[in-house]
Amino acid sequence: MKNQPTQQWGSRLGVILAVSGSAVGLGNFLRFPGQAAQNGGGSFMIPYFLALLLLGIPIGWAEWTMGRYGGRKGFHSAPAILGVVGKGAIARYLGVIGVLIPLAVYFYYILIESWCLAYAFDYFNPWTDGIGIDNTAAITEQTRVAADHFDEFTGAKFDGLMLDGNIHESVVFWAIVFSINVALVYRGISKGIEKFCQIAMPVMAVCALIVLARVLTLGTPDPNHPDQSVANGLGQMWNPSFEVLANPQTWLAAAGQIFFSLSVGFGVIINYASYMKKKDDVIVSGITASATNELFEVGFGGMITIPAAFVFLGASGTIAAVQTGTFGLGFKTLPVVFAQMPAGNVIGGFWFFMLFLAAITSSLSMLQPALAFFEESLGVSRRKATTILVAISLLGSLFVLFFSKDLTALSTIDDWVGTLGIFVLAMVQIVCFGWVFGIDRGWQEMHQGSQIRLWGFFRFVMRYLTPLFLIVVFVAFCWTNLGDWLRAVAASPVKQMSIGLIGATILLLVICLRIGEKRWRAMGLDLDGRLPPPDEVQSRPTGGTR
Amino acid sequence: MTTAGLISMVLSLTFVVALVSWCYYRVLTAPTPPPEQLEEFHSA
Repeated sequence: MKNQPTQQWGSRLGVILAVSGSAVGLGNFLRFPGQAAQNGGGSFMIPYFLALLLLGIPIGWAEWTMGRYGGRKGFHSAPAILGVVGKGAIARYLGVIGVLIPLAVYFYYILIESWCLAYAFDYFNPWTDGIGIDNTAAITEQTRVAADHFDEFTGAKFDGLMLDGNIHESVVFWAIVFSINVALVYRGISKGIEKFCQIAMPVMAVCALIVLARVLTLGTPDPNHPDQSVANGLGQMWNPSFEVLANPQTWLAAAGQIFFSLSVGFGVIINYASYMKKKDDVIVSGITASATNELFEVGFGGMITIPAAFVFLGASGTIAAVQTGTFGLGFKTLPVVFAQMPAGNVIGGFWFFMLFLAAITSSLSMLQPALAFFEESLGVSRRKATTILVAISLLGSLFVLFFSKDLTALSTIDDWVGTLGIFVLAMVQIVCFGWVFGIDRGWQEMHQGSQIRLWGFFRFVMRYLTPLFLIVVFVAFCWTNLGDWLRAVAASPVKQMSIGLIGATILLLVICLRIGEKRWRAMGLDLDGRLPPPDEVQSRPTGGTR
Repeated sequence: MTTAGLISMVLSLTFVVALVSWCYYRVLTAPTPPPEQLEEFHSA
């Protein structure tokens, strides 16, 4: 065994932008506006901001704190860190979910990312004229063309896109995007992820500002429909209807949106924070990353998508578009909107490039936790760990690419790992932090190096309110969805194979963890969190252990 | 757009922009901590 310098972030701003980049994704621009418009418009913001303060930010703080603490003990992967914080094997093995989620979500997220880049390329390319929508045709016909293009492009019409003997644009872009991700992650935390996010995040903001400026200056483009104005479009998004606050579904929708949007319970923050220094502030860093995500979600997502759709499609068209979900709104409706818009191809290009940047800053964050896990569990170099990671993610991604009909494989992994898994991991994390590690110790650890001192109320929030809130949301979520999901799995062989893929990935990660446990014990590492971090022991005048 | 809609929009945007501004002000004006000697505890 030889000593190597461990990785760390180049700057505090770097880690904040990387975590923000991980959180900002397609959901900020496509899911949030739909949720808000369907759940009371402006009044949706009341449960939304409450969920931010009581659920999103507290879980985020717990993750940042546990990650930095684990890093001080020399660990960077969720299983090892949760083993230390959760003091034993149960938390350690549950921590495997913290590697599974980013890795399995990467299997399909990379495809979505490649669609965004391909659409941006088509819109910026003067020879392709966007995706070929004729804006003189009826809107229904234009919508059909956009939907056909998307289904053909993504292989949603049939399985086996890879094996039909043709070179598909989507497969070419998938290969490009896959390579970019691997290259950036291989370069490391500071030289790869941090540097890229420091450029990508401001560029994403500039693209969003360009699209926002165009949407807000559309006025009333069709004199035959004077009601279809930007002001009324903003009204569609923001006019409150307070009676929905009496409906528990609104509160669940708000909590769910905050939860998924902030990337808490995803296994990323805990890994990213493990590369911070002992005295780096995690409280302000945590709020800053969440606030940046909110800027993109509320400031851009809330101001662009619904008003743009409303101006050209009217109220009924916008409601119908929102009901088609994230992909329907983003890839089938908005291309129709760009086709009507003056300078629509350029704006469409900026829009999809912005979505690509939002996606790549997220996908990078999905690779790093698995990479760190393979490095430290198997004791291999970054190069070997990258090779293992590429092999696994390539197989998983090819599976999703092959079983593309109706995007069944994609949606199954998204449901069972990207949705259900996140709830489970968030609960494991907040229980480990507030109850096993202990809120007193956690509170003290959280305030190490902090610029601000938190109001004591948040101790109560993190110990009682957040876990309770999370359990209520989780039970309600399972009550609403789990029965349908299980029936769907029973009826579809592709869904069953997707579950098999998830199971095989879990098995592989558990085997790696078992190997890692043996290695760590042989090396005398404190993997059950019985001792204080080495830097704490060194700084004590008399030494000793707790 | 109704007056209530305008108020919701302005309040939401103001909250988010104020929060982001305060956060980045704190981050960018914070004193840089002294460099830390890091050691790898269990590398290959």
